[in-house]
Amino acid sequence: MKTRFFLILSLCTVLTGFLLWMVWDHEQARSKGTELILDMEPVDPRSLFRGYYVIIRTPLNRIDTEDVPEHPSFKAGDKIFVSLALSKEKHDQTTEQTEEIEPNTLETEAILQTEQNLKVPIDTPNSDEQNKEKWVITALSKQMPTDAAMFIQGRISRESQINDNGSTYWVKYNIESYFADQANAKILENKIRDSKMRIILSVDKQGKAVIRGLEIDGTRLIDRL
Amino acid sequence: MRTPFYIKNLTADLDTWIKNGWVNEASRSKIIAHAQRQNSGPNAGGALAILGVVLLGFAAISFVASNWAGMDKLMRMGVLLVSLWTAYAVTALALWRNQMIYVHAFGLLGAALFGAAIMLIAQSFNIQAHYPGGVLIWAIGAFATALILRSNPVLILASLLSGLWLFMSIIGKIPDTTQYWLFPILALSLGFSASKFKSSATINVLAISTLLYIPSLFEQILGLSLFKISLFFPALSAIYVAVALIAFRGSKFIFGANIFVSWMAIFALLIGFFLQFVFNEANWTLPEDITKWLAIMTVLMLVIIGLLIWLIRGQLLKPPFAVAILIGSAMIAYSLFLRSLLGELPLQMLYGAVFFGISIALLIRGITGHKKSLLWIGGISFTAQALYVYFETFKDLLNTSLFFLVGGLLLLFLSLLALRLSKQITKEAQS
Repeated sequence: MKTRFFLILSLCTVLTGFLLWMVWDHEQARSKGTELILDMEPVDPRSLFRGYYVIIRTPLNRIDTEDVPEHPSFKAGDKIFVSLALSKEKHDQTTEQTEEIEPNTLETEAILQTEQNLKVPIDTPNSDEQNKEKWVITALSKQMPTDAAMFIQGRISRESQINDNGSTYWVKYNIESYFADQANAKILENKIRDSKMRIILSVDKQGKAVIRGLEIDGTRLIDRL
Repeated sequence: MRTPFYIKNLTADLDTWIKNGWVNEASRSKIIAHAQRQNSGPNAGGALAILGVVLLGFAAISFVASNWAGMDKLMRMGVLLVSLWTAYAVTALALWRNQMIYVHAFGLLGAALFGAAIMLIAQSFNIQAHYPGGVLIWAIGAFATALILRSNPVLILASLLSGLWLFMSIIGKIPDTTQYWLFPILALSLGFSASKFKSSATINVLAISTLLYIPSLFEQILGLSLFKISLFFPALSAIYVAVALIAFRGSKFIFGANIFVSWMAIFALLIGFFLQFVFNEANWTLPEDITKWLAIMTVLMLVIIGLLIWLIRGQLLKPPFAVAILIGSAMIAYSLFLRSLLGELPLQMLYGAVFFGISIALLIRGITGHKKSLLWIGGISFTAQALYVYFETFKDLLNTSLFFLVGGLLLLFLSLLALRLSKQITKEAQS
């Protein structure tokens, strides 16, 4: 009985260690990876939320191979490495804000509506035409690329349509949902619909991406511990 | 102790046995005292403790959920860790004091809280959108807890979680391949522990998980979307029959093998039953790669024949029952091919007759072998088939009536034969 007493407490220690490791590992990935900001596409205004999750869909989730030169063929479940390059695109949207706001929760509407609620005052959004960085796909591969400046790792989803005339790959990067509590859920839904929201990712050396935060109306909202 | 109902029945039986001279009068009080000391299963104290812990768990979850949005991430983490440690500390204390009821109850709570912690942390920190790996870690944590505590409730939780992980890995939008090699290892480990703890519930869960594992494994091997191909299902039925026969071979010395036999038989029959609905499909035709599927069916049938011969030689199966299994399996395996040869109605009649025959064979086997599970399976399949025939096969009431008349007379004739056979055997035994 004594042995089992100490064993069960040791097991609890191991389980606690695992939980702490989960947080530490994720925090490392978020803080040390290369930043990648992607546009978010509206999914379906009627079913944007399942519970309190925002469904994240970016242009990288659906890849039409007609747009990509020579690539291997993939099947559902295969790993895929998507090589990316920056292209400048003129865009009639607000400038990216340089000040970061670090709320404990995403009280975005309150922050954006009234300056006195903000921890850090921000500039009024600039509506002049500005350049906006955009990532384009340059190559697809089954192995980690060695010559790409930026690449992201994903898996081919079951929804992909693969045929002789060209394929449409639906790719999952394990970043396709973002938890938002009930108060913020509706706000974020509207922002996505109005194309005012982008996702900020942190990508490690293996191409694995984690969510670092959101960019709303040019204002960066970084998730903090 | 045994239930009062059992004690009452035992007392009445003892009167008969003593009267017939099979049991001494002196043994009566000892037998009844022994029965009264025996455990009849879960007692009220244990059940109430488990239920109490479940309600505590819900209370904690509701409280946390109501305040969750207002907490920052570190505070959430703190709440989860404190809850986990509280549950495990109480478990350890109960273990020290040998209060096994509370060991099982709080061990179960601790194992459940570990999983809740994984999911809530993954959610709060947006760790992963699709996280079957989290469920796997949860299952392993629960399994380790069950092993240390020697707890059946926690082992059942671990087996349920392993099934959930398998389901998420197979059905999830991001296909995974880990489960194809990891699930057998996990299932064997859980099964071995279940045999030590004598946990039938765990074996039942593992059997159901295996039902899902088998077709997904073949889908992985053959690289096809097999569930979209109707010919896959007769092949799957044959695979289930083969697995049932293998499990039956081990039923004498492996705990829970009979449970596997039952589940595989049920699903093989279920597939057989639902195949009949394909016979009615006017637009259904055989696929182009019919030769490949014929070859697969034939290989499976040869495997089944080999297993049946092995069981007959081991005197575990009587030849008539083996023949019934063979005919039934062949009928299911080749039915869709026979449809184009015989036509819809002759096939339905032949198929229906064979299906009734299998159901009756299971019923007889259940009665003679004192196996309640076979009795239930046979009875339910017979009833389901009768209902199907009533609603589907015959289009007018007169023919339906004739079918049931013939069937009823046939069964009565068979029962008379069985009665005469039984009397003959008894006479021979007495002489």
